[in-house]
Amino acid sequence: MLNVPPQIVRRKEDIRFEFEEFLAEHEKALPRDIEPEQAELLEKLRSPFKNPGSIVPGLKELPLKALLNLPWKPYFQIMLLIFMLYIPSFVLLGVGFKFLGIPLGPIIIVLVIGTLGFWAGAFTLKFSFSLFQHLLEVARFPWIAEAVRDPLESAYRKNRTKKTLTLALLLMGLPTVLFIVKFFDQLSNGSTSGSSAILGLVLSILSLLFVVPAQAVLLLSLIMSQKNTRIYDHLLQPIKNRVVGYNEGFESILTKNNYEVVMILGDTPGHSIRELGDIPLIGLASLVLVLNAFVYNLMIPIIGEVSDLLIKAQNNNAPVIGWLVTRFSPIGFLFFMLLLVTVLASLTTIVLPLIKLWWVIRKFRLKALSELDPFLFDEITDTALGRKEKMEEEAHVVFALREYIYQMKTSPIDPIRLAQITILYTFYVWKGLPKIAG
Amino acid sequence: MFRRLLGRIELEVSITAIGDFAGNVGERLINQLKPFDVKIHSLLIASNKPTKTQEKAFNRVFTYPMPFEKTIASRKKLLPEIKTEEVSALEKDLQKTVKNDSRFHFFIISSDGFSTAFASKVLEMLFQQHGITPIIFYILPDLNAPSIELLNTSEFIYEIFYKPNPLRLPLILIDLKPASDEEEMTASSFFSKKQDELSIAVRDLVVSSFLSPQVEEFNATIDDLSDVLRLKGLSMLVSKELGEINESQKAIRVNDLIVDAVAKSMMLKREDVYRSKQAYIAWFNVELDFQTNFEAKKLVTSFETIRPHLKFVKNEELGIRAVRAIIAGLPTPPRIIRTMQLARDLRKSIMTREGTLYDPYPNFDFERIQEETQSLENLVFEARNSAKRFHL
Repeated sequence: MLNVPPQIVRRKEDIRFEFEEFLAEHEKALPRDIEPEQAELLEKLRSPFKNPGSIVPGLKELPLKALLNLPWKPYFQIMLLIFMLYIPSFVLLGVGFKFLGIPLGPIIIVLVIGTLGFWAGAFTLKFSFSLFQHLLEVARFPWIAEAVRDPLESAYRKNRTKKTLTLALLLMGLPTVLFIVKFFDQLSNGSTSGSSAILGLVLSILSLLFVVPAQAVLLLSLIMSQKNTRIYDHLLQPIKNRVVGYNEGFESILTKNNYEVVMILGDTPGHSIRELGDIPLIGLASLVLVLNAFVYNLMIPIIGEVSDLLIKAQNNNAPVIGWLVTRFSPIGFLFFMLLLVTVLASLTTIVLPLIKLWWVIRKFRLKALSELDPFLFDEITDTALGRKEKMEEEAHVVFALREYIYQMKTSPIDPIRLAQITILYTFYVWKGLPKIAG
Repeated sequence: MFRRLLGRIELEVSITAIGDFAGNVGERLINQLKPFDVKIHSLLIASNKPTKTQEKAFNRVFTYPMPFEKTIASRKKLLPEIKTEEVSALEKDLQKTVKNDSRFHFFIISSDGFSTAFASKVLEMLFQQHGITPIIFYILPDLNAPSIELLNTSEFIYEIFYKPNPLRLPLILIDLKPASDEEEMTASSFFSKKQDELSIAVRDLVVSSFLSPQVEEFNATIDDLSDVLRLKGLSMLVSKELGEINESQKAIRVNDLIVDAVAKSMMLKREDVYRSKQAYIAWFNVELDFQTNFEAKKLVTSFETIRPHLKFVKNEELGIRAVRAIIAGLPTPPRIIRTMQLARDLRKSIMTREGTLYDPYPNFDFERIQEETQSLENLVFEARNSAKRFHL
C-alpha cells in the first residue's frame, strides 16, 4: 500500500514572490530574442562537430541574428556541414545524365560555380552583418547607431530557415519540369531506351533534392543582401538630413552638424567610418557570384545548351544584344535576360541611394569651398600686402576645416575599388565563365 | 607595534563568513592574508560543527545547529525558523569582529538557504542597532544552478536593493560561472578551485592597496580601495591571470579584458560598464614597457564619468602576472533580472507539480543514503584497483 497524503493542489496564480512586481517592470528591458533554453542551444553550437545533434534544432529555432553572432570558426563548420549535403547531388546527377544520354562535361560548371557562390554567400551573410553590428558597438556617433538599430533588429530578428527552405524547394519545380521536357526530347531522339531513360529521370529529379539546402543558403544571402541595402539606405538618410540646413542656407558651416558629416566622410582613419564604404562593395562583389550560382542551380537540366551558347558567343566575338537577336535561341535568351534583369535590379538598389547621397554631399562641398576659399584668400593677401600684422586665429581653424572639406569623399565608396570590382565582374562573365564551360 | 610608532597605518580586516561554501572561502582567504602583516578579526557562522582547519583559521566560531537538508532549503522557509533571540546571542562575537573604526568589514555570503537567511537577519541587526554597513561579497550562482539557489539569490538581492526602504549595502558580485575548460571538471574539484581563485583575488586586492607602487604615476592607496569597496550599489569582482610571459602576450588589452569580463558575466553593454561610478584596478608583476603604459593610459581615459584608480605592483610573493579589479556602481544588470525570471518560472512550475504529487519517500533517511553512496564509492575504488592490477 502506498502512503498517499491528502492532495494540496496549488495553482500558479496563488504563489507570489516578493520581487515579482519589480521583475515585471524590468522584464521589458531584457533582450527578448533568445530564450534561456535557446541560450543553451547556442552554447552547444559553438562546437558543432562535438554536438551534431544541436545543429538542426539550432537552425530551426534560433533567430538569424544569434546564428550570425557565432564566431567565424563554428559558423563555417556549420556551413561546411550544409555544403556536404550538396555533394551527393553531383554523383546522382552524373549517373542520371548517363542514363538519359546527356554528356557529363557541363556538370563540372555547376560544381565550380555552385561552390564559389555558396561560400561567397555564406561569407557575405556573416561579414555584412558584423559590419553593421560594429557600427552599433563603436557608437562614436550615436545618431548613426540610432538610425541603424531598429531596421537591423527587424531584419535579423526572425528565423528564416523554414521560409527559405520551402522557397528553395518550390523553385526546384522549374528544373524538374525542364528535366521532364528533356526526357521526352531524348526519347523522341531515340538516343536512349525507355527503361534507362525513366531511371535517369528519377535519379536526376532525386539529385535536385540535395541541391535544396545549398540553394536555401544562396537564397538567404540574396534576401539578406536586399535587406542590407534597405538598412544602408536608412544609414545614409541622417547624413543627408544633417547637411540640408547648410545647403538651403539656414545654417552656418561652423556647426557641430556639419563638422560631424565632414568627419565621417573624411579621409582620417580614426574618425571616418570605414563600414560606410565597405558594406555596398562587399554586397556587390558577392552578389555576382551568388546570383550566378543561383541561376546555374536552376538551369542544371539545360546546362549543356547554356555552355554551348557561351562558347559560341566567345567564338563569334559579337556584341551581346546583336548576337542574341541574330541567333535567337529561346533557352539562351531566357538565361541571359534572367541574369541581366536580376543584376540590374540589385545594382540599382545599391547604387541609387549612393547617387542620392553623392548629389547632396557634392553640393555641400562645393558650397563650403566657394564660401571658405575667398575668405581665406582675403586673409592671406591682407597679411601678404602688409595691411595686417598677423593673421587672425580663426583663420587657422577655418583653413584646417577647408582642408578637411577638400579631402572629404563625396561618396562613401572608394571609386577605384568600385572600378576594380566592375572590371573583375566583366572579366568573370566574359572570359571566366566560357573558360569553365569549355 | 613598531609600525604604529612610526606612524604607519596598520591594516585591519574583519571577515565574517556565513554558511558552508562561504566558510571555506573565508578560511582560505584568512590563510592567504596571514603572511602579509594584516590584522584579521574573523567569525564563522556555521550550521554544523566546523572542521579543524576552520576552527584554527577563524578567531571565533558560532554554530547554529541545523540539519543539512534544511540548510539547502529555500530561504523563505528558514527565515521564520531563525529566532531573533538566538541571533542576538551572536552580538558580542560580532561586536568584537566588526569594530567601528576598522575599514574593511567583509561579509562572505553564498546562495544556499542558510547563508542568505542568516545573513539578512544579521545585516538587519547590524544596520539597525549599530549603524554599520559591511561590504558583502556575494557568490552569484550560474544560471544553470538549482532553482532554489536562484530564488534565494533573487530574494536576497531584492531585499537589499529594490524593495521599498531597502538596506542598500555595498554588494560585490562574484561570478561562479564555469569557463569552457572547466565544464568537464567534477563538482568538488571545480568548487575547490573556485574557492582558491576567489580568496586569492580578494587577497591581492587588499594587499595591493598598501604595497608601494611600481610606477608613481599610477598609484592607488587604501583610501581609494575603501572608497570603491564601500560604494553602495552593485559591483563586480574581476580576476584574470595573464599566464607566462610570451611574445604574443606582451601587449595585453586590459581594457577589453576587464570590460568584456564584466559585460559578458552581467549581460551588460560595454557602454554601461564604462559609465560605472568607481573602479579600482591592480596589475601584478607586469613588465613596464611602452605598450603597457599606453594600455594603462587608454584604460584611464576610456571610462566616461570617472578616473579609475589604477596601480602597478611588483611583488614575487603574490605570484604570477594577473589583473584584479573591482568595477563598482553598475546599473541593474540583465543577469539579475534573468535570474529572477528563471527563479519565478521554475519555482512556480515545480511548486504546482509538487502540490499534485504524493511524496514518494515518506521516510527520507539521509544517513542511510550517505552510507550507501560511501559503499558504492568503495566498490568503484576496488574495481579501479583491480583493473590496474590486470593492466586493463
